[in-house]
Amino acid sequence: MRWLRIILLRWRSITRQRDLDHDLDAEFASHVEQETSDLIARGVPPSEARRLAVASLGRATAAREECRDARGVALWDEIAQDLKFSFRLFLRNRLFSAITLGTMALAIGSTSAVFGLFDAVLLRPLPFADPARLYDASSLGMRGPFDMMRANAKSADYAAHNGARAFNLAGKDWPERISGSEVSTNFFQTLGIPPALGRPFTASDHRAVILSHDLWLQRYAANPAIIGQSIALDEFPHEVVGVMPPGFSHPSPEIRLWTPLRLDPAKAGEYWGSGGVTVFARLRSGVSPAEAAAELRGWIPRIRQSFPWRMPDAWGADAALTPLRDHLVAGARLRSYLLLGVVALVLLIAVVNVANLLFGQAAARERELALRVSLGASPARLLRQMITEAVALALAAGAAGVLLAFQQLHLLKFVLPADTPRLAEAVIDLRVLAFTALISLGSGLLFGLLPAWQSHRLSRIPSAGAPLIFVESAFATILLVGAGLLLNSLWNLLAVNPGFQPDSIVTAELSPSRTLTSSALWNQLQPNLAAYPGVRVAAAANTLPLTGEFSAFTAALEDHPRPAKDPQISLWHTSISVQHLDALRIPLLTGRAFTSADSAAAAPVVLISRSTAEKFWPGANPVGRRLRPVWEPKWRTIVGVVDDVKSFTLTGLPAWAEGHVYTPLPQSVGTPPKLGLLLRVDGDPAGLLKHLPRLVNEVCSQCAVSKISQMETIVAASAQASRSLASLVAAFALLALLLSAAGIYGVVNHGVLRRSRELGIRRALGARGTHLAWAVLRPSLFYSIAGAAAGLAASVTLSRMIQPLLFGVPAVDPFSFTVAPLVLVLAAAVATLPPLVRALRIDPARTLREG
Amino acid sequence: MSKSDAILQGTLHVLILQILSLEPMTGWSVSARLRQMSNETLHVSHGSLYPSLHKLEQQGWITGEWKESATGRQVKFYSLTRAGRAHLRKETDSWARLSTAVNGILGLS
Repeated sequence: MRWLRIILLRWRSITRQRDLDHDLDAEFASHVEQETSDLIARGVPPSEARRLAVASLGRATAAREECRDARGVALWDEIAQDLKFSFRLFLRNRLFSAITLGTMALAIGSTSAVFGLFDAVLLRPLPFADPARLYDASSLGMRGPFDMMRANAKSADYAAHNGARAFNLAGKDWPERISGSEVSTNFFQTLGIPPALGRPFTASDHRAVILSHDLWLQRYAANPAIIGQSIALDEFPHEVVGVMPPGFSHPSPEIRLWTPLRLDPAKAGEYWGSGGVTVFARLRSGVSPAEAAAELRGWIPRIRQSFPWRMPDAWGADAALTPLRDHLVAGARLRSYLLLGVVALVLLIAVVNVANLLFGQAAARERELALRVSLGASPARLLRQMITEAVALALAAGAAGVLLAFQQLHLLKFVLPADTPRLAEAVIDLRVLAFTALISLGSGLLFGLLPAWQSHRLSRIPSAGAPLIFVESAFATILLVGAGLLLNSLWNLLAVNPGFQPDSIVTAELSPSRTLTSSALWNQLQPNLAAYPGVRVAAAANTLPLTGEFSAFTAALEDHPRPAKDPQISLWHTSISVQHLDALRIPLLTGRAFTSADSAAAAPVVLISRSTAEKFWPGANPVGRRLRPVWEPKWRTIVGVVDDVKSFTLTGLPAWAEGHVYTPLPQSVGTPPKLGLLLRVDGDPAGLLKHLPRLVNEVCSQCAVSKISQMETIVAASAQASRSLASLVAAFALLALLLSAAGIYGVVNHGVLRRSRELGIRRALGARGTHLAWAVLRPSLFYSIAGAAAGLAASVTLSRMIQPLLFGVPAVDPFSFTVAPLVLVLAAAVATLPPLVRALRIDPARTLREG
Repeated sequence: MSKSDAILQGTLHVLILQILSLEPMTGWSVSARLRQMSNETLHVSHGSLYPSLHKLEQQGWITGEWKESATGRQVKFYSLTRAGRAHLRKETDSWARLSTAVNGILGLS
């Protein structure tokens, strides 16, 4: 209560100062009156009484001031004065102030936006119940091992999903391809997120579906009666048992429905092999992660022996539990740290610039400050003034920065690849705003204290610019090196030959129907597509290249038996139609390509890539050798070798894939759940793009087409992560370079202004122009070179940290480490030119006259 | 300001609170009462009384209110707040302890 009263009174004393001063006068007047009448009553003559009464108040003005001090008015008065004063100073230096404030706002805005991203990706708990107890166990990776842990584990509840796949959801006219995930029936309970409507899956659910909130809104008009109804999914009726709350789309943002994951030991290939799943666990209460991990490791030998085929001894040796959040954002962690580091450096450069601006003002006010000290202003009072100015400036910049942060986060979300984990969760909220306020205040104090500290030691003022040039040059060099490394890496990535010709190819994805398997559907569809005007080659495959989709199997090679203690051979697998090599123009090196004779009934055959041939049969002809998936009894014969293709990403296959195998579509390893279409066309593909769904529908009314695109778009998208990171870092490096150049200009210009008398006199005494130029240029050049050198030294360490983000670029890349410092020193030299010209134009005659 | 005055400044606040604990009164009445109660020993300049009153008001110990006086003029009456009363009690106790101790040392009791 008392504090409330105090705050109210303080507030009143600031806002209603005039009223209160008036009250004070009235109070004094009434005192004088009472004292007068009292004195008169005691026998003092009236005229004398009044004089005595006034005198009893003492010096009225002094008392009045003291009363105002007592109200706490003085501090506010002074701060208001300080603010007015600094505002006038900023106006005098309008352009530079505006630029400084603007860059500061930009830096604070960027830092806040990137922090919003960083916070969402790395700091916030996952949006699940008690997320700290959720652990990733994806080293299990297959349905069989997962099923054993689910049934037997005592310390944790294990759940699994198989990522995202397309479902054919029956519609009014033709089905729509919708992304969904097959999940273990305990999936929702394990995450701790119950459906908003209906119920989660139960162990007995088979043909059931849970809808996302989005899908429920868009397809079923948010009708709650949908629960219990049946919808056709991949042509099978599925009972809708639940609707999830808004925003829930685990395991990936495009997921719009969930069905129960099939765990059928009778389907050994799927259960123990190709039907990979992602496994995670929730620790039961009172169980430590170490205990749960110990239980998991204890089960590994038993699981290994349960496989229907011999697993290598090493299988499961890496089984571990890692916090689910760390696992989900693993790919974005380094990028997030990098971006935050980059904007932090830009912010520091901006802070140094503002410190310089304020410092210049402090120097210009040297006389004023000295005068005020001699009139009795305490050093604390002057310090307070400088800090007030700085903090006011910083808070103004922070407020502008917040507005920019909203825009910048929007931009970041647009630039960053859409599959960046948790990108949708990034928002500017109170947490981020608190961070913004904190960095604004922090930088305000920093750039307020720097000049204040310097002016405390008045003798040191002339050299204050030097550390500034040094620091800015060092920071900017670090950013330029980083940008150089990432751009160089991007350049390498774009220069990668994908191994096929991506031009003039229309792509699409297609889900086969229940009655038409992929291969049968393709046999019917191919002639129609090939006959469409402009289509030269119509081909299909189980996956399209460079889409980042996984397709692989564990293989046995007849003449390369692996000892049981070694890991088994994993081979990348593409199942292709006869026309595939022709459509993508992949060269056949030896042997034969697939023909229509390679049917499901014919002897199984495969093609292998050149590097696979070189790895397993160096110097020998692999044609005629045999391999098979570990769970199949029948060997497949290699009939030819094709040139290497970047099937997975531009950087190549995952490290664990030891080779690349092609099978004919009818002989695919496992039934392809979808077809990727590849149509090489002549001329404008617009007509084809439009008519593709109808062409497909004529053949198969239950088949849905989606992701209609062009191969060149897919190739460009596959470099998107590198491109966005490189362009963001490059943009910030450029900003840093401009800021540093502006800072260096400011320092040198200020130096010339201050030394104009000295320079003029030296000129008058006959100093040559080149000498004077050197005198101006030397310190800034020296410190920017020293700063660049320090920046390079720091970059050696820092660039090692971002090595995993680089492709074909050594951490200490000669290109980046040469160009970055050169660019910086050049920029510093250019920034020095205008003040240099000014120094040379100093008129010695005028200097002498005015001196 | 002499040294004894400085000591007085510290205790002045407690004295004002004590005076106001009896009844709300104006600044002038407080000064008159101070003079009376201390038998003219404590001569407080009116000039320093008002800053003290305002400081106490800012601290929330007392509160001022404009009222009509017996003579029909608007005058400011000060009264003790609840917090001020508690504060006074605390200060009185500590003053008692202090003066007992000091008296003991000086051999006055």
